[in-house]
Amino acid sequence: MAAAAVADEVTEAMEQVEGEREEADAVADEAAEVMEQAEGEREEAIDAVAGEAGEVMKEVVEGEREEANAMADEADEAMEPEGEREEEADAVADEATEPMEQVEGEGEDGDAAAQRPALPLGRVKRIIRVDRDIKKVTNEAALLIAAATELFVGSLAAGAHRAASRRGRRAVRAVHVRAAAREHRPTADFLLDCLPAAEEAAPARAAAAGPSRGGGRGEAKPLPRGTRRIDAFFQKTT
Amino acid sequence: MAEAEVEELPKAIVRRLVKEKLAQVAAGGAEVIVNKDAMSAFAESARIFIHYLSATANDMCKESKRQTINADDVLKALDEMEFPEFVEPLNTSLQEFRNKNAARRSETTQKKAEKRRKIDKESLPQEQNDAADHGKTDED
Repeated sequence: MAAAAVADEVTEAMEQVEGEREEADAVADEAAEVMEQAEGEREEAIDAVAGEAGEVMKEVVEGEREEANAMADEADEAMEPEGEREEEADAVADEATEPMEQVEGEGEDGDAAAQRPALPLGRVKRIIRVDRDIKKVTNEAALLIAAATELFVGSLAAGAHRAASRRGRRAVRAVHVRAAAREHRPTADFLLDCLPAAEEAAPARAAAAGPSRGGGRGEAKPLPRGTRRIDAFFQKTT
Repeated sequence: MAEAEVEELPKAIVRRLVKEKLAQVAAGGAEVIVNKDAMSAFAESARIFIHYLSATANDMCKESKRQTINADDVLKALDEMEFPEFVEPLNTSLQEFRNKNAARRSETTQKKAEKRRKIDKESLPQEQNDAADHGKTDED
């Protein structure tokens, strides 16, 4: 009688222990499964990033690592294809444009270069690599090129505005952009030959060129030291 | 071999840059209208500037017997192209970019530390399992 009771208690205890163990096993299995999923996802993200990195970027090891880390972080936060991300960026830029125009008069006077460049870095990199001679560009270099381009557009816009004002115009036209380029010699050196000549610009240019250039009219300007002509890149294929 | 399609810069962004600048320079806050042909000229000019600057930076890079264009090559190229007024604001941008990068790197390190801690915590059920096995052995 007493032995039977003890046996029953032991059996009950053993059953409890086994139940607990099963529970622990289930938890462990779930944890392992979750971890496997997480690792799989991470590997997938890393592979995608590595593939993109290999395809899109050829940079020094440090640059590659930094970019891969950044892209891995982005991939972890939002599992989106790059195309969608770029589209979103463009959409955001388009949306930003409208409010910006509305509050144009109240716009901040912050220096554009002080902020992260607005030009999309991926696009700038693709433009840079049109030149076959260029093998690798660090991320910092691409960033500087984008920021410099913004400064250049700003100074060209200011020059065009001055040209328009001198002609008593409230609207800036292509002819004023050309005039601005012509007035800044470093810009004229590389830009005038490449900008399409507008019909209406011809007489103005003839008048302007006469007194200022004299005998140099027909000659191509010598290039600054250490540079070469890059017109070939801009020939449009018909 | 067909030539690669010409990449264009987003018109909306170029327009924003131009409008911001004109808002700064226009006297008395009068609105300045920019025609479409002018906007196209700005976008084309920007693209040509990128090519010119990157080609010049590439020359700087080759002169130093290197293969990869870095930040210094770009800054030297701007001097070569006679745009020295751009160098100082770009140095500022470069510093801010590097600071941001450093911050992001430390953030990444923190994330890894947290992940390690989480893994340690999840291994606890295993110990519980061992304890259960140990109890069974005692009873035997």
